[in-house]
Amino acid sequence: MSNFSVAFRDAGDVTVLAICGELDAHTAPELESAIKKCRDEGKAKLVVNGSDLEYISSAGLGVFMAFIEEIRALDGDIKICALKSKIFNVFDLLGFPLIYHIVETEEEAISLFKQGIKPI
Amino acid sequence: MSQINFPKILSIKAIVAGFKRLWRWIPPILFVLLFVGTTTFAFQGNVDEFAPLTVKILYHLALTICFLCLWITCSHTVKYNTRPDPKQVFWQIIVAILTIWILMFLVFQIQDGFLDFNTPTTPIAYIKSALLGTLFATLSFILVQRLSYLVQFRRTRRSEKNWRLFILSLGLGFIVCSPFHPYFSLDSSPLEVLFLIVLGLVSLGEIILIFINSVRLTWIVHLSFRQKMTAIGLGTVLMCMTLGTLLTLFRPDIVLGSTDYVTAPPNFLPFYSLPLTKVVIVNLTFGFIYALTSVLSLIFHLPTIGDYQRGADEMAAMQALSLLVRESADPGKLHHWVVSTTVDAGRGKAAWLTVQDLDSGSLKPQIVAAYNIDTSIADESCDLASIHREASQTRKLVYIPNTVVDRRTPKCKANGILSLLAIPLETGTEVLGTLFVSHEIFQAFENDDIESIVIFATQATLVLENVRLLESKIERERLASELSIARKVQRRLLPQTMPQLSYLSLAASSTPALEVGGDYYDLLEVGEGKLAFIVADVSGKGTSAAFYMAEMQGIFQAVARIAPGPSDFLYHANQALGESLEKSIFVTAIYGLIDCNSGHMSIARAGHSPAVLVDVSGNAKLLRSGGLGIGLDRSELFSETLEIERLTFQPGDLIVLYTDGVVESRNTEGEEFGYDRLVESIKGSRYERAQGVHDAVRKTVDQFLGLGKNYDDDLTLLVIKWHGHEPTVFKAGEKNLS
Repeated sequence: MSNFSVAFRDAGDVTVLAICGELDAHTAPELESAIKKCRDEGKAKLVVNGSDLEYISSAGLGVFMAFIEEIRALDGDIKICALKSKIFNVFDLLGFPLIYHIVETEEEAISLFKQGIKPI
Repeated sequence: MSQINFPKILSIKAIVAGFKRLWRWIPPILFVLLFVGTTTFAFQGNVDEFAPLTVKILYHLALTICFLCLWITCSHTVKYNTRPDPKQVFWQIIVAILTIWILMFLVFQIQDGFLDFNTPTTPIAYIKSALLGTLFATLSFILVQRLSYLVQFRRTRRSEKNWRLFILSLGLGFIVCSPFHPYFSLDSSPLEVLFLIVLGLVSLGEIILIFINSVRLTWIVHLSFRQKMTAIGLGTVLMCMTLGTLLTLFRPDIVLGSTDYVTAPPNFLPFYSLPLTKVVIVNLTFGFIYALTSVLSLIFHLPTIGDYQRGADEMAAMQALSLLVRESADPGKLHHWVVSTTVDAGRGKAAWLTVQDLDSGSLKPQIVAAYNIDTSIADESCDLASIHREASQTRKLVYIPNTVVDRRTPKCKANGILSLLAIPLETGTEVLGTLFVSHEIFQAFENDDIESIVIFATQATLVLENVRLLESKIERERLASELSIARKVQRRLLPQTMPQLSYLSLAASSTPALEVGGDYYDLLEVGEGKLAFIVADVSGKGTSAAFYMAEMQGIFQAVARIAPGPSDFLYHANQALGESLEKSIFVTAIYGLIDCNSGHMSIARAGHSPAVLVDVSGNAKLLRSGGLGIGLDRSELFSETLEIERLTFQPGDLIVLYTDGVVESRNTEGEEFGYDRLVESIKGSRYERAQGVHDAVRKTVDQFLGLGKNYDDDLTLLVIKWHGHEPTVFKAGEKNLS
């Protein structure tokens, strides 16, 4: 029984992926296929809402890295928002804020797209 | 001291056993006594038609018992431990008859006989006819007793009952016949007429029972072709022998080529004992009729032998299948064997086997074995994919009795295939393949053919499945053994001994969550009194992580010696690993350099969990300088963002490096070990040497996780303690790998 799920939500041309539960080596393929699906549908502006993310392992972090180049090549980006402080700490230790926009709220993340702010 | 063991000597068991042994000898002894007695009595001329009734009754009673004893004696000689086969039975009878014939011939040489039918030349003629009578009786008894094995083959309650009735009728006939003189006249008393009627009824019963028992021929069914031919030959010989014996009984003069009643008296047996004559005749008649029905039945069975032969071939094929598995577990051989056996068992003209190899990515089933047909011909003859799909989806066999009218078999007729059968080889959970059987005539497969092929296919499926399971087990074991080798190799990549340095003590350990892992630590003395150290963690765990860990080790051993400081080292590491890492894989590392002469340390963190610094008074600090994980960025960003932390050790300072396996370890309640517990644990043991601190932290982690819980992630811990420039040179802590 997987304790991880991804929900899609469209906000204009931005796609919000609300991820919930524990993202580890077992559940990473779910997020992977979700991002792949967006990429294949041409949706490159992605916001990952991690408000319900309870845990992330290194394999989970790897998913973001696996697609970032392709997504950015499609003139899009992956922006991460609403992380719990404990989860943010994991992103932060690894230096993710140096590469990804990691913001407090979903709205903020969407507005970054709207303002046309370039990826880091 | 000796003691006589009375109970043993007098035990009932021993007495019974003794009696049994004795009992076996009673019939032959009694027979000899009675035979000698009665013959002597008759020899003296006491028994003729004028003898008193009581004498006659006693004489015949004695004869009855005498031949009953002979019957029992004969039956003792034919006891088998195992059931004999029909050939053996025939041979035994033939040998017995031949032996008795020789004895008879010798007895016939006694030059005393009869002047006419009823007048012996000398009293010796009594002895001669008594001896001949015994030989005839022995022959007929052995004949019937041995044939009973064939009659009673696969016995049923009814067949047993019929046989017992037959034996009973023989005895009854003997008794009923006893009062009659060989040459009675019909003007006798009414009692004699009554006896005659009873005798007639008993004889009728005997005849009926002879025929009933003569059609008990179940043994024939189980014979192979060769055995049947042998049985026909032996049965014919037996027929001739029983006929010959009967002829000898009635007309010894013809058989012996003598015209003289003296040498070859035709009436010697009735003269000796009329009831015995009757029993012998009945027995010989039964032997003849049984041999006759056997031979006829065998001949009638010959045309259908093919069917039985096919059944036998199929059974043999099944058996060979299980043997084959023991010999070879090669699926290729098994596939070929399945198709060849299907054809050899006689149910089809050609056969082939298709499997869908999903690994090859092709949806078209491949022919893995074909027999009596070319693979290419089988392939082009019919729409294999569609038939295979139908068979595997419905899990039912597909029968095309006429390939000319079926759209799936467009080129079958051109290739001589007029009927086609496809059976899915299903294991219950999946379909391993489809077995195709073809025939060169229309509607070639009858229900029993199909049934037989399906049964065979089921067996073959089991065998194939077993082989597959066996293979995957072997594969698993091979992988396990390779992983254990990999584990050993990986442990060799970690430091085997700690560097010996003044002023500081060291302790470290690393435990992979799986057989191999992605954690790495190392220490290297670079130059005079300088120590380079690293703790690194490849994302993920298991085999792929282990490869990058090995690469990291190579980089450390090569670059640490030449890199002047942490930023240079990590820059080179990012360059080197950046090329080979998968996009989704990254490595976090902490690299530091300690100058033991000055007590200076420079340290940098590439995305790794921050090192913990605890001083002697218990103040703790997480060294959280900026830095990206290795592999996250291939550009200059990595170097630009990397920060170097520099500090000077005070005596008693502890620096603890670890991988996230330590702080992210979760106990059964799902609670994380966390930084606080780590820091507290270090603080609590800060007066210890490095090894003591290391052990305390590991112990705290293990206690937190609970007994017997496996680590979720690779777990590595490196403790460095600065003792300061004290006069004592500390021995380095010992390496600790768990």
